[in-house]
Formats: sequence, C-alpha cells, structure tokens
Amino acid sequence: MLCALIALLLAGCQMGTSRLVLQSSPVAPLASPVDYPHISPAEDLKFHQLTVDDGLSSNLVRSIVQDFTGFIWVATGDGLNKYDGTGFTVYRHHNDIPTSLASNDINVLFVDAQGTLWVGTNGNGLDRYDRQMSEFQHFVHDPANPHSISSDLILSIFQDNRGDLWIGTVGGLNKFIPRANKFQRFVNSPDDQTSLVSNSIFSIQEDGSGNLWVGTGNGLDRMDDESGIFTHFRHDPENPTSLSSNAVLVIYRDAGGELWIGTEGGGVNRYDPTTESFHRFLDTPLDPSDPSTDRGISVRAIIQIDTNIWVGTLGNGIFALSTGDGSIRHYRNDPRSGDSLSDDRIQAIYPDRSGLLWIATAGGGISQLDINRNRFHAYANVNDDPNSLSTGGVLAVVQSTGGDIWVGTDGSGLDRINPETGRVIHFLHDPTVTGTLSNNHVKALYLDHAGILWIGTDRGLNRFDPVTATFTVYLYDPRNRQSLGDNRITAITEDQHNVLWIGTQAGLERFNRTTETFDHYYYNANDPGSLIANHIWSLLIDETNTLWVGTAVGLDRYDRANNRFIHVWSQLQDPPRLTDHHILSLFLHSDGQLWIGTMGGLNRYDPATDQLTTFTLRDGLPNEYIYCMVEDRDGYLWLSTNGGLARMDLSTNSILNFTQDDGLLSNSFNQNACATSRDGRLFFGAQNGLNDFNPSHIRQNPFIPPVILTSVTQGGLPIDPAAPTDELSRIILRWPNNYFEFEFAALSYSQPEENRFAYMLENYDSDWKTATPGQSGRYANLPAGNYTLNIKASNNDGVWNDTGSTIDVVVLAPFWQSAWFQWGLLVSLLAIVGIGVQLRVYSINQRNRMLSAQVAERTREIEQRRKAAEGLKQILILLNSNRPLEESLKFILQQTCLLLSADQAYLLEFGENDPTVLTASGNFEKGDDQVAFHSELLTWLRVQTEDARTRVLDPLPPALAERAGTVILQPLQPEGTVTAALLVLFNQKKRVNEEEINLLKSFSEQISLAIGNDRLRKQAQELAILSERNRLARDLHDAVSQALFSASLITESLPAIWEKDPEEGQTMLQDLHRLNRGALAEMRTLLMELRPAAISEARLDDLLRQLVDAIVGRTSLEIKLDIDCQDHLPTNVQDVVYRITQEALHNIVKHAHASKVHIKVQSMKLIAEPSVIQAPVEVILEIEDDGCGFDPMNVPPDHFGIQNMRERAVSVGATLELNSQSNCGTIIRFIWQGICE
Amino acid sequence: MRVTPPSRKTIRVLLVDDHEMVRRGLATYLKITPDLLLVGEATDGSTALAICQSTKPDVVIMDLVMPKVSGIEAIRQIRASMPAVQIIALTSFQERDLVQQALQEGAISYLLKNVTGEELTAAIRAAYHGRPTLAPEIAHDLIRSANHRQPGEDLTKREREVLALMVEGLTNPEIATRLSVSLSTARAHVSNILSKLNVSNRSEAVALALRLKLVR
Repeated sequence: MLCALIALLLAGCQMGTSRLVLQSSPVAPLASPVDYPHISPAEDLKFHQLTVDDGLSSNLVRSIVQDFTGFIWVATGDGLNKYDGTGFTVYRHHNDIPTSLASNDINVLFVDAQGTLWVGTNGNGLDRYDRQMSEFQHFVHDPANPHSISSDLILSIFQDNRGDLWIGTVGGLNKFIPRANKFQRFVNSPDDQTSLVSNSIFSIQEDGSGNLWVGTGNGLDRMDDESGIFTHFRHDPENPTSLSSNAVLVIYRDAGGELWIGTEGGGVNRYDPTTESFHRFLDTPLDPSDPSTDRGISVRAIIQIDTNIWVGTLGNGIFALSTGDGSIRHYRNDPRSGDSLSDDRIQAIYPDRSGLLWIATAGGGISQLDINRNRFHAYANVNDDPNSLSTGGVLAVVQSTGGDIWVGTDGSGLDRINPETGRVIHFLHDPTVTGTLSNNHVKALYLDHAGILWIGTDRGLNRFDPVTATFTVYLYDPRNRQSLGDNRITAITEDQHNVLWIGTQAGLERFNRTTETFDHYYYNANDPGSLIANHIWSLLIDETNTLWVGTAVGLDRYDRANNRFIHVWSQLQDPPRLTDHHILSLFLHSDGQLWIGTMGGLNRYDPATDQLTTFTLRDGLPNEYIYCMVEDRDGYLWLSTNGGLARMDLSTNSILNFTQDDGLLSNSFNQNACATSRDGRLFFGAQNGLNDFNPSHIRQNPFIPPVILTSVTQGGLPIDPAAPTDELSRIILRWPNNYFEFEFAALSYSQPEENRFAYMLENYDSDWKTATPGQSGRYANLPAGNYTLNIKASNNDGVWNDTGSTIDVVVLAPFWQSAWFQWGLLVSLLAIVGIGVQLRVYSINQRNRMLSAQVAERTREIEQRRKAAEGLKQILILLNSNRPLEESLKFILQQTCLLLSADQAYLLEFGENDPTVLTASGNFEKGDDQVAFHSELLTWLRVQTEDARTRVLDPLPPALAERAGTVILQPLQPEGTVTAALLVLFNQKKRVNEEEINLLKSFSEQISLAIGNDRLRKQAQELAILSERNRLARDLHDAVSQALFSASLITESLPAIWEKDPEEGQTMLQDLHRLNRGALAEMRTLLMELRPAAISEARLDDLLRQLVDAIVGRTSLEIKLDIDCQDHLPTNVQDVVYRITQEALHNIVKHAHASKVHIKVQSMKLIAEPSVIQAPVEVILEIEDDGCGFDPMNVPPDHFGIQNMRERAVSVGATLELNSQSNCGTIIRFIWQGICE
Repeated sequence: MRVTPPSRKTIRVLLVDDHEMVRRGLATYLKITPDLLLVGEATDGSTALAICQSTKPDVVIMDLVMPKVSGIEAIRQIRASMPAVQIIALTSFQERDLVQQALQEGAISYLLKNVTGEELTAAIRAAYHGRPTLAPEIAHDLIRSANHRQPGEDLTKREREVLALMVEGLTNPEIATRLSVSLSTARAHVSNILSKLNVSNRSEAVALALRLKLVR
C-alpha cells in the first residue's frame, strides 16, 4: 500500500519548481563497479525467520526498533508487536479503549533518547507510548489548530543531535515541541523557493555539520541550521553525478559520516560534500535485456555492516556493497531453502544491541541474520553447477603453494579451487587417457618440501605436475619388488630428510626419490620389533624427526637407529593408557606436544615429560571419534569429530563445540581431512562438502542479556496490574495469599530457545533453581518475612548475566499476629460485651445490679474462653501448615502470654547439651527487661522439672524475683522424657487458678506437638530420599495430621458450643485434651519407631502409657493401666512386652468391638531373699478386653498376629497364653522369668 | 442443645472416615451449623454404600485411604447407584493420581485435611448446589500439570542423564560412579526423577522413559 502511495506522490510531485544545484565538473567515481557480472549471488548467509507462525501479528512488517529495556518492537500492517525472545505481545486498536493504539496499520517506529516509543501510523496520526500507564497518547491533525501535526499519515521519525524530534508526514515536516505538545510545521510553499521542495517527507537525517537532510518525493533537501532555508538537490537527466532519482526514501549516515541516499527506482547515491555531487550505484536496470526492469532498484533500507553497505530493496532482496573491493553480493529469497531471506521486498533493516540484524519484509515476516552464527563458510556440490565442488565426501584437503585449495573426494576425483574467484577445476580418472588421476577415490593429499603435490588414492600414488597438469602414477607391480607395496594409499608424510613415507592398507612404504623405489615395512608375527599392523591409519613426523605410525591396534614409533618399531601404546597394554587404540589421527602442535585422535577420545602426549593426558566426553568433547586436528593462529586446537567441530583452549582445556546448528555443513567429518591455509583459514572435510572459516571470527556470543520479569501473578491474576512488570521492584503478599508465580525473559535474540535461567529467593531457598525459556517459577506457603527474588540468565552460548534482576518480596504476617488486630479484637470484644451488657439490662429491666454484674462476669468468662479457644485454633491451624518451627513456637508463646495475661514467657531446652533458652515472648520494653538466664539458674530450673509436674515456683530465685512476682514452670515431654520447659512470668504476685493451669497445660501440649511435628517432618523428608518415596514416609505423618485436623475442627466449634451449653463445651475441651494427648502419644510412638533404641531407654510404664494414650486419643475405648513392676527388665524383654502390648491393642481396636481394656503388669521376686541383689523375678503382662469380636477356636492362630506375639515371647524364653470366653472377653497373658538389671 | 428440625433447606450430610476422632471433629462442627444435618457415619468404604442408601444424604464427605474398601471404590459405587448424591473427597493426601482418580470417579470436590470448618461447610453447600471446590494446592497442581502436559519436560539435563543410566539398568551406586557424584546425590536425582515423572518406583520410571522416548 505504501508503494502505491509513493507512486501516487511521485506523480503529484512533478509539479513544483526548485532551486537546482548544478555540478561544475564531472567527478571520477571511486572504485564503484558498474558492470553487473561482479554481482555474485550469495548463499553463504543463513537467515532465521519469525512469522505469524511464531505469534507475529502479520507478515507485512514495516519497521523494527529496540527499546532501552531490550524489548524488540515490530510494526506491521496489522498491529504492533513486542517481542521478548519467547513470544509476541500484540497491541491493537480497540474502539472502546481511547488509550489504545490509534491504528493497527503502522508505518514507522522510533525510540527517542529518553527511551520513549513513538508509533507513526498510516493515516491515524502519531502515537506516543506511556510505559507506566500502558497507554498510547495520540497526536492527530486538527485543521483548526495550526500547532497540531500537519497530517495523520506518518512516514518518518527522526531525532537530531540536539534532541529535537522530527516527524515526516505526507503533509509536510513537523518539529515536536515537547513541553507544549505542539508541532512546528514546515511545508512546501509554491511561491517560496527556500521552502521545502515537497510535502511528502519520506526520510530525515542529520549530517556531520548539524544540518538536517530531508528526503521527499520530489527531491532531496538540506535545511540550513541557522537560516532555515532549504537547499534542493534534484535529478538532472543530463548530469550523471546528480541525484539519480527525485524520490528519496532513505538517507543513511555511515560510520565515516558519509551520507547514502536510497531512492525509488534510482538505486543508491553516495553524497560527496566537497563537490556536492552524487555517486550512483545500482541505478540502472539489473538485467538490460529484461524490459520489465526498466529502472534501477527501489531502495527501502540502507545500513553499514563492517565494511559493507547493505541495501534493502523492494523486490530485489538485499545487496551488500563492499567498500573494500567494490564487489557486490546479492541475497534473495530462495523458495527451496528455509535459510534464505524470507522475502525480497525489504521494508527495513535494524541492528539490535547484540548485533543481530532484524530485516522487515512485506510478506515474509521478519528475517534475522546472526553474524556470529554465520561464520562458517562452505564449499559444497550444487546440482548442475560444474563450478561447484564435486559430490561425495571430502577425504583430504591441502593448500598448494600457489594458494589453491586441493580437495580429494570419495569417488569424484580431485578438485582444485581458487578461493579468490571460486572457480573449481575437476580432475578425474580417465582410463583412456594417460597422465590422468589414477583413481577417483582420493584418500590422502600431501604437499612436500618442494611444493609438489602427492595424491594417494585407492589405486596408486600420484604426483601432480603443475606445468603439464598431468599425474605421474606409481602402482604396485608384482614383478618389481621395489615397486609400491600396495595400491591402496591411506596416508602420506615427509620427514626432515625429505624422505616420503606412505601408509597403505598393507604395509608402510618408504619412497626413495632418487631411485624412485619403495622400501617396505610389514607386520611380522615373529618379530616384535616389526610394525604393529599392516593397515596404516595415520602418519606423523615429530620435532625430532621421528616417525609415528597410527593403526587400528595402536601407535608405533619408528626407531631409525635400530630399524625397529616400538609399540608405544597398543591394545596389548594392560592397563591401556590411551583412550582407545584405533589411531584415527595424529597432530604435532607448535609447542611440541603430540596429539593423538582415537575412536575413544583425544590424547595429548608431552615427549619432554613422557606424560599422557586423555580427554573424553566428560571433558566436554562432543563426540569421541577424533578425525582430524589442526592449530589456528591463536594457538587453539581445532578438531573434527562425528559430532561436529570442537575448539580447545589449551591453557584451560576448556572445549567449545560447533555443530550444524552453528552453520556447519554436517556433523560428520572425515578422517584426516583438514588443513590450514596460509592466511589463517581452516578447512575441514565432511561427508557433504568442505567447511572453511576464519577461526578468529568464531567466538561465543558475547552479548550479556538483560534479564527481566515478564509477569508476576497470584493465582493467575497480576499482582500489580498498573505498573509495567519489568519495572516492579517490590511486591507485598498478605496471608493467606502468601504465594505467587512469576515469568521471566532474557532479551538475547540469538537462538533464544538456548537461553538459560537461574533464580533464587533469598532467605528462603538454599540454592539456585534452574529454568529454560517458557518455564515459570512459583513460591507458595511463604512464612512472614522479607525476601529478595534474584533472577539471572545466560545467552545461547552460556554467557551469564550474573547481576540479573531482583525484586523484593515482603510477606506480611497473618492479621491475627498484628498488634492492631489484637487491639481491635479486644476493643470490639469489649464493645460487644458492652452492648451485650446493655441489651441484657434493657431486656431484664427488673433485675438488680448483682444480677447484671453476674451477667457481665459470665460474659467476660465466656469471652476469655472464646479467646482461649480462638488462640488454640490458630495454633492448630499453624501446626497443620508447614510453617517453620520457630514461627510456631513463637506464636504459641505469644498466645500463652496473651491469654494468661502473663508478662513474659520463655521456652527452655534441656537436651544432652547445656540448657538453653529456645525462644522468648513478652512485654519487653527494653532489652534488659528480659531475665538473665545464667547457667546456674538454668541448671536449677532443669532440676525443678525432673518430676514433670507443673509448679508455681516458691520461693523465687533472685534472678527471677527481680523480674516477676509469680512464676510458673511447666515441663514438656515431646518424646517421653522431659527435654524442655515453659516458664511463664507475671509481674505481680497473683494466685494461679485451676483453669489457668489447664490452659497452660494445653499450651505446653501444643509446644510439644510443634516440636515433635517438626522432628517428624524432617525424618519423613530424610526417609523419602533414602527409600525413594517409601510409603512409610507418608504414613508416618498421617496419624498425627488426622488428629490435628480433628482437633482444629473441634476448637472451631468450641465458641459456638460454649455459648449454647457451657457444660458441653467442657466436655469438648476434655475431648480436645484427649486428642492432643493422643496425637502426642502417637507422635512419640512414631519417633520411637524411628529410633528403636529409644524403647530400651525409656521406662516401661512410660512406654505403655504412651501406647494407651495414643489409642485413647483415637478411639473411645476405656483403658486401665496397672503397672506394678519396680524392676528394670532386660532390654529384649522390655522390647517384647512393648511389642506384644502394641499388637494386642491394635487387634482390640480393629476387631474386638470392645469398650473396656485392662492392662496389668506385675513383677514378683521368686526368692524371698532381699539380700540377693540379682534375684530372679517373674513378670506377668495381662491384657484383658471385653470385646466379642473374635473366637480363637474358629480363626487360624496366625491371624491377628498371634503367631507373631508367640514368637516374640519364645524369643525371650517366655510363654504366651490366650484365653477367650465363649461369649465375650479375651485375656492375653505373657509370663517371663529371669534376672533383671 | 436445641436440634434444628430438618427443613427443606437443610442439607443432609454423611461422613465416611475410618478415624473415629476425625468423625468426632467433623460431627462436632456440623452440629453447630444449622443448615447442615448429619444423617449418618460410616467407618469403612465397604459399608459406605449401604449406609448411604439407607440415610439418603445430599452430600457425602469421603475419606480416601481406608482399610478394606478404598474411598475411590466407594465413590464409584455411590455415584453408580445414587447419581444425585454429591461426594466431597476429604483426605490428607494430594498425590496427583489420587486426585485424578477421585475426580474421574465422580467426586465433585477435593479438599485436604488442613481445611478449616468454615471452608468445609462452604464446600458442602457449594457441592449441594453442584459447584465444585478444589483445595488451592490441588488446583495449582492440576493447572501446572495441564500446562506441562508432557511428562519429563521438566527434567533437567542432569536428570536426563541419570534417567538414561536407569534405563540401562544401572543401580544407584553404579550411577554415582558413572557420573562421579556421591551416592546420596545419585539417590536424590533418582528421587526427583520419580517425583517429576509422578511414578513410584524405578521400573515405572524406566517404562515411562522408554515409552515417551525421554532418553535416546
């Protein structure tokens, strides 16, 4: 559409006079070729496409820019796109959203010096994008306002060195006045010769002197900086150094400050300021014989790349003019190739900050050119082109003294390439003509000291005579023992005495030049000093003129003095030292090291130290078949493998790999097919051609990608929809919404799918998490606190941006922990109480004050209890979640203080080490308000807890007395023995009532639960790792969580029940206690299962009580426990007693349908002799239940684990009896006699 | 305590759970919710159907992991014979295959046993009106698995290497040696792989890897 517009404008621009600048004398052109045979169609560059298939809104792309953050903006005929490497975000015009894009049809984009994006539409004015508000601000033409923009059809946008923004439209040139949001117009005035020559402003540029240049549809204008006068340059058909065409669409300033002018139909002009004249390029028809091309090319883009000026044209692709040698390369779309330019109609060319070229086309979307990935060139066979490489694999390559590249192919003979002209000469075997190549399978090439080329084929050795261009052939002659030993040549080398050594498939040959005879070396089974094998794979002469011979079974070194072959490394060795004994290739580095390429990896041998170093896949090799090795000018070692090329940095031994994806012809290279040229290029022969490249151009992509967050959401909804995500610096999360998801991008567009990410939430994660493009991150169940999310990313070659992006994450504590809530609660409660009181007084107006006081008192009690229940409930919710232990403990302590109206609370730990203070809570105004816990005090407190009873400390030790009036000490037994204690302080002296003691006990149970729960969880995690998600790990936690769940439901119902029926509420509270105790017991049991030694360490009555508590906590069984055993049972016996009781209880719960259980343990001395210390005793364990669930007569004895119990009993020499009444009731009796400890 | 007489708006609820205390807790909470009426309790999947047929509840709260007949099976039976009854799965476990089975067999909601009483009653009312409720953890997990359809997509490069060795039949010590890492690192990798592939043992992981061609 734009083209039609231009045509229309051009037609209209024939009118209008202008002042011409006339040349005084013709100017000699500077090295600019005019004859087109020099234009070479180039296929060496690979383009990557982005089209609607990738999410682009339209394949008609008009303009591309990159903003300061690094996003790429793409203007098309149908929408504005923003690209971040993973996908396109499309911005469109919406009728009902006034701040949306003015139009989907966009001509030009521009990013000014402040980073603002400007959008010039095709008929709907100019838009300015406000990132903060995500809005488009519109500037439209208002006929009534002379300070509005002069037209709505925007053609060009430019910012000069002073920062002024210029907008070219079809209705004139506009200069934007930012503070006033006004425009200063410059239009053509037919009466004024110094005004603009035309109103169609296609291009705007600034020259080195600060003058503005304006390309219009009717000539090129230069605006004088001071006077504002426009000087016109126009096409003069008589003057070949005038502008080639009046339709000036592009003005480009190159690195040297020169202006290049692209026209419609007149090619490119280069302006010479000294003479004010123009040199023309590509201004005449490309193909004079073709009448359809009656003009020069139509230019749409000009850009300088290195020493080339690239010209993008409409319909003719891209021309690359070399300012060095004047050659022109032409890139066009090739429908057969997916790697060519996507469309010949170029609209714009834009280089991003990493050097990647973005080419906008009209119909082919975007073509990207990554110079870094286009460094590998190749010679390959092209069908029907005799001037291309022959088909077949390249088996050998060498550069001759004249500079030609000789290539040996597998079946298509020998090729000679002139690298300057690209011309290829083929040499084939012709049986009818003498002096031709002896065979078309060329396996080896060698240039000797005299510059003579030797060619080894499958049938004979050839010597090339450059003068006559013929081959002298050496063949095996059975009659002549001194002829070549075998025709199948595999390798050729020459030693420092100019002796030629030739490897064949049946022996090693030594060629005597003077006599033209061959000496043979063979493998002889009887001679250990003979060659290790007859089939020679590779040959090498080292610095000491020693010959190395590589075969399939090992590497030999020729000892010239003694005429023997020493088997340096072979498969005979034990243990083998080389990576593998198939010696594919040998190479001598300039530093004297010998490199050995095998089928199992690479080896480096240092002759000086006799040290061998090996390299395999683990060291970074892409593949272990090392076919050929060369050294480049920078000292890197390059090698070809079956998995591409590798470059090794010898100082660090780090390896960089290159494959087909990087532009290589193939990943499969050929043995001993590599060479260097004298100008430093490297050549590697592959299965489908020859790759050549300048190794100093091959490098990693050094661009450090900007890392940005692209979305931060919570449950899919953006957390902060107003702000642009990549500018977000902090998010605040509130419980229960303490989770968020986030997505990120690395703005490096070379192979963006190879970008990599790592992120870590500081203060939460212990290590970095990795991610690939398209993956997102998520954090959930975050405890309250301050975190920082760090994200870093690497580009496609693994170059990391380690600073990356960070965002602060603040997680606010649940509201019930905040002071304002608790005060608010108190206030509202008091208000409710107040209202309640009023209501009651009002409704019972006859009551006297005592009654209302009673009512008020009762309400207060209810509220107290309700708060207690609420507090307990919150604790349970906390415990049910997976908060860290410290948080749970601190919260419980806080609740304790609050609900007991205590002033301070401490949690003390008595472990195996010295007693410590775990955590504290209270009204500490100053640091020294806290109790100073000296070790003496702690030890004393520990002693006080030994009987595990709650006590009000009296009298108070001095350290406590100076802080408090009343102190309560509550021992805690998370695992059965007292290992912790809760210390509660009240400033005033007070009497502690029973309800408070009960509350305290509840809190202490919660603390024990918290500690045990935490321990269990950790154990479960460890177990999960050890046994690959063993179900035990899961079941371990199940019992406790069921209890906790039930408890939380009960406490939730408490307030309502209490209100309606306080007695029922009391019952509920008892249930709660039972549940807690049960859960604790269950937990202790489980902890003990994890540490079986605990069974023997604990006391028998504690063990059994724990079992009972667990059962009672789970069911409504009534269990009576009578333990009358003072003796300390042997470990195994105690264990059996525990297990049998456990088993029996499980059976009763599952099958017996009992309601009462009686467990008795009695011990009796067998000898009534108190003086005998180790007197034998008899211990009886009896378990009786009243259930009717099973009949031992009708059930096999090993059901219900009875067999198990019997076996256990037998194992300690005890007996087990099982009596069951016919109607109901069962007694299990275990009897043991022995000596106690 | 007053018992709310059942009105037309009262929702009839049946509890199925093998833990008595859990039933106590649920029953207690239902007692204080006037529009919900507890009409029965079952302690096992095997009696759930029978009790359901005799008490005719509107909504069933079903524990999933029970001794004789599992909750999944019970859901299937009840949905087959009494399709009007809505079932809420209430369990401690959130394994993906359990969630999928429960939902496939016809449970309308899936809640975890860290839910509060209010959330539970809200879910019961919603279920009665045919609206599903998913515990947030479950919802997130399902969404993520829907996005990452292809199992094994989220394996790291190292994990793929380990998986390849598992396919070769190497044991953990052999894997550790081959990759020059410690035994516990190798175990941790294997554990992560099983987790990401959502399988419970090595053979399943190997079978999955081969079937989906996750390794070469």
